[in-house]
Amino acid sequence: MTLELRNISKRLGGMLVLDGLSFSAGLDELTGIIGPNGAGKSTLFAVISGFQGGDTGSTRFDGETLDGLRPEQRVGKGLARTFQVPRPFTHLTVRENLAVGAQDQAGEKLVDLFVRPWRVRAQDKAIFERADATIDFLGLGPVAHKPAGQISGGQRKLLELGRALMSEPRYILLDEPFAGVNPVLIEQISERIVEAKARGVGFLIVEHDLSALSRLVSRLLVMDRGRLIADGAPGQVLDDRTVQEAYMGGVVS
Amino acid sequence: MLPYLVTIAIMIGIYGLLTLGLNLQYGYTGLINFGHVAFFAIGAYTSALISLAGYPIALGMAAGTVLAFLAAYPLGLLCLRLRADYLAIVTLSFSEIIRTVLISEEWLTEGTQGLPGIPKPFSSLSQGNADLAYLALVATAMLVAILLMWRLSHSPFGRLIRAVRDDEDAVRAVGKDPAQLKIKTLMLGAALAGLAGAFYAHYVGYISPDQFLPLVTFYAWIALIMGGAGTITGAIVGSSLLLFILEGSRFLRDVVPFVSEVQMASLRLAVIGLGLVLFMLYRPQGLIPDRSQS
Amino acid sequence: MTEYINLVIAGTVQGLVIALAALAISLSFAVARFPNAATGDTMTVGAYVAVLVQAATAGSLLAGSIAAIIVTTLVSVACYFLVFKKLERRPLVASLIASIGIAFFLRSMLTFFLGFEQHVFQIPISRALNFSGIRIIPIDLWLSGIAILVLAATFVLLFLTPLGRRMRAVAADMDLARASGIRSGRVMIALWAISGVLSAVAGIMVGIKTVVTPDLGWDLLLPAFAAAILGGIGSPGGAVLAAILLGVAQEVSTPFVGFTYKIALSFVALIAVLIVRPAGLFGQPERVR
Repeated sequence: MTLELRNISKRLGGMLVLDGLSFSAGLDELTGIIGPNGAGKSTLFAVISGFQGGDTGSTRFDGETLDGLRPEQRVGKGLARTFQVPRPFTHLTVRENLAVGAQDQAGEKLVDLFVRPWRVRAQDKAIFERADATIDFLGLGPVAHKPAGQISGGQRKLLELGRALMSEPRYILLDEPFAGVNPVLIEQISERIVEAKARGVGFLIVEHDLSALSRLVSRLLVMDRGRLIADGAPGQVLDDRTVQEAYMGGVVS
Repeated sequence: MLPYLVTIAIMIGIYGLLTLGLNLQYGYTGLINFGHVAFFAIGAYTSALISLAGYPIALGMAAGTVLAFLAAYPLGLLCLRLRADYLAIVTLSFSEIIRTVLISEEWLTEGTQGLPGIPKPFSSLSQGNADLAYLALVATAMLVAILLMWRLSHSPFGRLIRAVRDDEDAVRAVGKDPAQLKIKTLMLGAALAGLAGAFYAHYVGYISPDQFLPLVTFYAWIALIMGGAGTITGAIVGSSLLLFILEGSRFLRDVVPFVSEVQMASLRLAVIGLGLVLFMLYRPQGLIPDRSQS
Repeated sequence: MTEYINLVIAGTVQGLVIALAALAISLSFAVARFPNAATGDTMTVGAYVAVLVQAATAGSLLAGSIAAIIVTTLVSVACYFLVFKKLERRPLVASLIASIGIAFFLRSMLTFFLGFEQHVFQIPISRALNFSGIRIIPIDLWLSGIAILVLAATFVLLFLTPLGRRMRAVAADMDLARASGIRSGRVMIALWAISGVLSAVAGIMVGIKTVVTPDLGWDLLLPAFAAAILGGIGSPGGAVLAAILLGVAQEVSTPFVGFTYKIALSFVALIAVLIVRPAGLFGQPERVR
């Protein structure tokens, strides 16, 4: 049960952003990715989630190839993602945002909608119950009925995570869950991630906040200029000299 | 006076159905369909030809609606993964091609001569009562369409449409294909236009290709924009206003006699054109704005 | 065989006319970021001005053409200041709908004041030159020459002058261009002026080849749109090449598909390219994100 990347390369505007990247991550683990700006982390997520095609290489998810699948099809396989800058549906309430995350809704199909309205009603009720449970889980109760365009940045991060969880994924690509979030909320988000892991959801997390990330994950990958330069337990990786040089000119705080 | 009002009411119903279809496509989903008249024409000709061949009018209307529904599928499949303006150009071209086909395939459509003598329903009633019955039929169709729209917009389907309008990538990130959804709304809107076309054909009794100019597409657009895109009431208020403008110009002719009938047609075109520009500039949200989208 | 050569020649002339309109649309696509649907009816305005001024000045086509160019340039720039400039920061659909509105308005003004009668340019009747079956009409030679000259001048302006460089910078990234000190307002005025000139020349050419009617430009709008997409959005060279190919394909196909369906050909070509190569024949891939 792994997410396995093999020899992924991607050229954007003449720059080699991903340079033959290979690694595999356990689907029941918390894995972190760090690296300086421009290391290719966001592009990596875009390629794994199918928003951008890689130039070379292949991606396998639990032994099944993802190559050629569109992003929405990859979600169907159990691979969800969040965005670095949260992208809530701003005109929908927080509750509705979560409801959209649920998969295989009869009410999104025209035939069921008009031929089996009772089924749609029952299913939508169940979906909203699950949405409410997610709201409780994430502590979004006070803003549940607000349009998502009106909630704070930290709440958007939580909503982003919640929407991904609503699709009942096996694995989530989390893009900078702590960026611009206050320390209290960082604690809260970390706890939720650990709890979600306990329920069997794995995470691959890109993050700049090294201390928060290294407390959270069991394994840390370090990227620089499209390549993997270190891989191991957080403490061990952060002591590595090459990492320190590449990452912060030698100083890791 | 009453027969005239009935006529106006029937035409409001027909343009109302046309506009409701466009409202689903553009108002709700943001699809720039510049070829709405093609589906209107497909509905009108299909229903007219089937009933002229001796089959029941109801069968013709159903067939016209279904054919318009199906005709939208390939267009959606082709364009909806591409830039938004491609759909505008391809649908506009499609509507002109449909008109060319109607002109050229004389064995089927009688070409520019058009199809006279299209059967009217309720022909056993007197003229006035038949029109009233027709109005009841159109009004019923309109009501059903409104209920359908309401059901659609207050369902998970409608929720997903609103999500797509907000952020397509985020929709894909939760495992749903925006293009599939857009194709469905394009087809449903086309079906409503097809039904409107069928109602039109059986009401006016004579159709020819020059009744299906791109101008008709933009009748629906100006109605939608005036009323306010994205609301059901907007679509209906807009089509009433449109009829007011189109019919009002007939009364204007009595007041300013030096304007000829042909010039009146030009003035109507001018009003529609200027209306599109002015609404875009000064009141893009229409007269009845959609409060959920501000 | 010679018959086909004649069709190819006729198609090339037709293609050059489409190319002028397609170039105007391609530029509006690239720089102003929407396909200007008023291009066709601006052409019609040009044709009418030219044919009327020619009639009023005892047959001077030159006077007619100059007047037409001045009028369409003014119309085009006025559209920018009165409408498109104000819609610049709004979604694409706003400008697109407004351009349809302008198209209708221009046509309605022509038909309101001038009616629906056809007008004909006074052109000296000339015999076709016959090279063992291959016929060349001198007026076609003239028209092609002028079209090529106008196209060439536009490309020189685009690729060899500072104004063209600025225009391409705005096309590439308007905010970046503005940040680096390019006055996008001036670039836009230039764009709309060029678009006006191209429209006038195209309109006059169609008028000379056929007759001047209110639908003259609208009928050419779809082939021009098709060429602009076929050539690749925002690729002016591609648009011109695609237009000429389209013109030739239309004429050569006439014996097979008949006269009425030759206009459908541009649609079929458009569909085919959207299936096989959505970015156009000569363009860079661009999809909805």
